[in-house]
Amino acid sequence: MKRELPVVITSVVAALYVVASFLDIKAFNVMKSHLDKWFLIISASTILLGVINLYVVHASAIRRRKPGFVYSIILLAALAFTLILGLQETSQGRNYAQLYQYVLNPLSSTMYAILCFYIASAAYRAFRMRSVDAALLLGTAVIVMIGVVPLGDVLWQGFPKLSQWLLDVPNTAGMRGIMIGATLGAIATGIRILLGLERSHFGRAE
Amino acid sequence: MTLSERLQSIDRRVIYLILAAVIVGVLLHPIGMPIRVGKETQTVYAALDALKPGSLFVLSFDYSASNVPELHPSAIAMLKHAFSKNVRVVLTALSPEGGMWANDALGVALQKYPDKRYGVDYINIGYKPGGQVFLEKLATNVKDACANTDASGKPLDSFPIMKDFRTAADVSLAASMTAGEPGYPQWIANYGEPNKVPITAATVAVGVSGAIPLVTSGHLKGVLKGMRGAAEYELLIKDKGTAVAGMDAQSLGHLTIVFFVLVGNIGYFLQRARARGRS
Repeated sequence: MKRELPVVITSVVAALYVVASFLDIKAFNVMKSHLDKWFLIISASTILLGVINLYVVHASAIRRRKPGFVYSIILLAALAFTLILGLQETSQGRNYAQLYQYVLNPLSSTMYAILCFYIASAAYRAFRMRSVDAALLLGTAVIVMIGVVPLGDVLWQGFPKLSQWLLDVPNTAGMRGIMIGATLGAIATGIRILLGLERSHFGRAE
Repeated sequence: MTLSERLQSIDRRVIYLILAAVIVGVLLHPIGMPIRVGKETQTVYAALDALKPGSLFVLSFDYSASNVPELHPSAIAMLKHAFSKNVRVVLTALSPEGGMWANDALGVALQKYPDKRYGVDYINIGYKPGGQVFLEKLATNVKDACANTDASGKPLDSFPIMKDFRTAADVSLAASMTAGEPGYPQWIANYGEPNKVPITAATVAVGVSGAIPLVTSGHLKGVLKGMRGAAEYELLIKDKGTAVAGMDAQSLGHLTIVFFVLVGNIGYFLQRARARGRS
C-alpha cells in the first residue's frame, strides 16, 4: 500500500491534468484550476523545506567539525541574519534591499565575471586544431566571437553576416534537433510516470 | 624551452593580467566603435513600438544578479520605451531575485518619466513561485496566480491598472529577460502560444543559440542578444546607457581571447613542423 498509493495518486492526477489540458470540459477545467493552486502553494512551501535542509546539513557539519565547517558557520549566520531582516522588513525594506544590493549583488556579479578570465585561459589551452573537427569548431568560434561584437564590423563587414548565417542555419538545425529529441524524451518520461513505470521521483530506484 | 613550447605555455596569470588591462583600459578610455543594429533587435523594437497607448505590456525579470550586466540594460531600455509610448507595464519575475531588479529598473526609468503613477501606469507583481504553472494561472486568472498581492504585499484589486489586467487576453505583448529556466521557453509554451500573446525576449549571450531557432520559427518576436542586443536597443530609443558603454570592452575582450587562441595554435603548428622535420 505504501508503494502503490503514491503511484496511483500520481497516475490519476497526471491523467486528469493531461485530459484537462487537451479537452475543454468545464469539470476538468475547474479541477485543473484547483490543481494549479495546490502546485503554487506547494512550490512556495518547498522554499521552507530547502531552508530546513540547508540548516540540517550545515548544522551537522559544524557539530562534527568537518573540514571547512567555518564556512558552514558563516553560511548559517548569513542565513539567519537575512531571514530575520526579511521577516522584520519584508522584501521591500530598505536594509534588506541594501543587503541584496551591496552584498549579494557584487558577490554574485564577481563570481560570474571571473568566468571571463577562466574562459580565456581555458580557450587558450584547449582550442588546438588537432583534427578537421577541431579546426571547424575553432573557425566557427572565432567567426562568432568576432562577428557578434562591433569590432567585427570594423575589421570586415563579412564577419557579422557569417556569424548570423552560422546562428540562423547550422545552429538552428542542430538546436531544433536537440529540442525535438529532448521533448520526445520528456513525453516518454511523462508517459512512464503516468503508467507508474517510472518511480525514481519517489526517492528510490525500483 | 623552445619558441613553440613557450607559445603554448603562457602562464595563465599573464593571460588574466592582459585581459584585465585591456578591459579596464577600454572602459576608462572608450574607442566608440560604431554599433550596427541587428534584425532581431529591430523586430523586438518594432513589436513594442507598434503597441497603442494604454495597452498592456508584461515585462518579466527572469534573471539574478550574475546576469545583470547583460540583461538589466535591456529591461531598462524596454521599460523606458514602453513609458515613452504611454504603454502600461506589468512587471513580474520568475526568478526569486527578479522582483528586486524590477524595482531597480523602475527607479532608473522613472527618473526620465517621473509622471508615471504606480498602480495606474505600471505595477510590480514581483516574484511568484511556480514557474510554468504560475504562467498558466496568470493567463487565466491573474488574481489567483498572484495570491492577489503585488511585490509589496498590497492587494492587487486596490490598483486601477488591475481592472484591465485579468487574463492573458488583456495583454498585447510579453517580454522575458531570460538567463536560464524558467524563462522565454515557458513564456512561449504556457502563456504566449495557448493565448495568442506575442512573446519577445532578451537573453544572455550564451543563450542566443537556443533562442534563434524560436525566432526563425516565429515563436519569439525577435530577441535581444546579450549586452550587444541591449546596446542596439539603447541606440534605437536614443538613450545610451551601460550597454553601449560596455561594447568596446566586450569587443576587445573577445579579440584578446581570439589572439591567445591563435598564439597557442601557432605554437602547436611550429612544434608539429619541427617534429616532422626531425622524422
